Amino acid sequence: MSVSVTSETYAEVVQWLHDESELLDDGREREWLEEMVSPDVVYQLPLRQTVERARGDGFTRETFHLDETYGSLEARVMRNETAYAWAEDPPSRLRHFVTNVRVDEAGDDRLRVRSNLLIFRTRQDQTSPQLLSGERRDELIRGEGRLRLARRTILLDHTVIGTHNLSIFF
Amino acid sequence: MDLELTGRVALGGGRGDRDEERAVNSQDGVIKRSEPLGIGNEFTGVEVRKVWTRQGERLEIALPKTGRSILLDPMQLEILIAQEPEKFTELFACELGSEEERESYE
Amino acid sequence: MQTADDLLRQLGDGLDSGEVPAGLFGNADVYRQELRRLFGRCWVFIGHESELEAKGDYVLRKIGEDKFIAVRDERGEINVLFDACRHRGVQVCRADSGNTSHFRCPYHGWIYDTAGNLVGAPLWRNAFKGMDKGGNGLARAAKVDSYHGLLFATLDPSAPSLPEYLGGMTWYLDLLFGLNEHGVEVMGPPQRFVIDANWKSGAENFCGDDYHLGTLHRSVWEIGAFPIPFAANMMGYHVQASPGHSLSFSMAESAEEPGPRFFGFPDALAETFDTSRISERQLDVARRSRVLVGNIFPNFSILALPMTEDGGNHPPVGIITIRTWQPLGPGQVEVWNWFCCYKNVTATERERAYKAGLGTFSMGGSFEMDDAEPWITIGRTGRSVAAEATGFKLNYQMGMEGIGISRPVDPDEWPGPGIVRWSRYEEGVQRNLFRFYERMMTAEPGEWPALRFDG
Repeated sequence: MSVSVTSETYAEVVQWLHDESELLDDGREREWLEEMVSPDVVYQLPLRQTVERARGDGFTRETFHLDETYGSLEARVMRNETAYAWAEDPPSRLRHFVTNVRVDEAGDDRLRVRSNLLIFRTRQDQTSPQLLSGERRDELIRGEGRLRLARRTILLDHTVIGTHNLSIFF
Repeated sequence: MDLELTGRVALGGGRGDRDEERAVNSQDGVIKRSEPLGIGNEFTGVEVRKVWTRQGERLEIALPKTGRSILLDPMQLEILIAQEPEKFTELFACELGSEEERESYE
Repeated sequence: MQTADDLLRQLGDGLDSGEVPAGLFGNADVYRQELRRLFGRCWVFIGHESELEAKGDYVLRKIGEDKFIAVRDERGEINVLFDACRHRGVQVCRADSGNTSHFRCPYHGWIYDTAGNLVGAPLWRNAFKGMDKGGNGLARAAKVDSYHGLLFATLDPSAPSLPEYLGGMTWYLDLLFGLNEHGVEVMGPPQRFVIDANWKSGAENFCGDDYHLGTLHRSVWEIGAFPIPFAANMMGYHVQASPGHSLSFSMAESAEEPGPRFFGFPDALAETFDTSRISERQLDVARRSRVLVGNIFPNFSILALPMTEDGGNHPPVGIITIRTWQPLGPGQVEVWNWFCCYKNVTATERERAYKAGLGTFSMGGSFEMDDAEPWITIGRTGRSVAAEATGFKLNYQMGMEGIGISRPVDPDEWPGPGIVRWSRYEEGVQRNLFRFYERMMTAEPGEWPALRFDG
């Protein structure tokens, strides 16, 4: 099932995930993009349907809520930097809770990382938060002494998305 | 579940093997077919495949000698399993027009 | 609390002066009436025929708040069936989609064929011998029909035919969906997301609210996603295609003008466009077309235009998004969003169109995500006591006599049907929706308002 990593590598990945969450929670999206994301990144959030047990978990392979490259992620970051990005201005209060981190070697300086994600988000004076729960399946690639995100697949525990938009980074 | 680790989006599959092919799907709504299994005897032979439609899956049974085929869904297959052998004999008779006259009852 | 009658009377009295009571966007009594008088009577969008290509394919869709199964039966006919077993009303199909030849209720095992006929139930002779199966099938929508593969259904047996109901809108649907013999298909199942807003905010926006692009969607220009500058984009046409159905339309003066043709669809695809389904005149208009955004009453919207999700790396390409604004209460709407493309595109063209659409007009899309913000607060205003106490009327006066620069377009100067105005600085397209809305909401059962602008 998995090729185990050293405890050093595991700690490094957990620290990386926490650093990433900190940048996103603090709205430092450009830093996140430029320092933590690979230029070849594939970043996807597949659609999910309710299907009978025999057909599996209902994730579609070909249709998405988000299907991003570095260029389109950068377009999103730029959008938030303009004065007119109303969806994120005033910004959401956002917090990423990352748990259940599992790390495997994937060869070629790559690490396969799975983590559970809970995003807590409030806007304006809402008291009830929007909650998004899911699993992230990542590939991190090591280069020039640092880890970068080469691939992220976000598997949400929702078929109908209850937040009114997806103007956030997972 | 293991999602494919490739970057390519392939929407509505079965659409020509080459990237630039301007193919349009056939009318029966099948978007993917498995490799066939052959089952034959000295009198006839069929090819059996699992096929996928946009919304689900069926069993395709094809008769190469006529080019005809049928797509059976799980409910139809379930009821096939419940049949007695005589039912299949009866189907041959109906097809040939040689079935016995019978009283029908409700 | 105000009643629906109060608010509808205010609408009837004030609409010709450009006034719409804010309470329509939040009043619970109005909502209950909308479920019956609009969603229970009008032709509503169910899905696209390409989702049900194979016999047995079915999807679970909604009419109003109610679940219906849309299925292609073993004979190839499409049926729209209320998802409730005739025995005790239990939901028969619980998956979002699937393929089957027969349905089986999980409670007592009643089995139906995909035309909705009752086939039998376990130990039938003991339980139901002597009972007539006819009349015990799944309940059906009164009428089902499609136009260019767009599948609609109505629960009202007195409803006019679909082409009659669509009226002048059919001409404009031809321009987008009828460009060759292959037609379009949807790319995957719909995205579904919920916004705490009233469904009418989406419907009226897509009637032709271009004016908000310069403010709400300014960020998209700033990042180079849309190839036409805002001021130039306002120079287009507003069309009331027929009562209730409106669209906003921009096109080049001539086919030689530089810029996108055929809504920005790839040139290689455009070469396959012909008059097999439309007239030469329509093909010429489609060739010059850039943006079409419209709404079919009550809640089915269409948008086609050239877009890119990554202006730095990909030039804009034509996308088609279709969506329904499904009511979930006076203050909540579930958006169902599909992307379409012509069936005879290459794999590369399909991928590009999908990514461009997904990156701009989906809940994660750079355009769409901003729309939800103001709509949420409109809903709040709509259900407020303050709106009731102050008799708060919303202003839909843009383009009325003496207000703004828009002017009527002579029918002789326009190739299609409907009431047309030049320059999109006008809100007659929204008033058209609300006029039909008021008539449909106050019509007697079996009575239908005029579906044409004659006379």
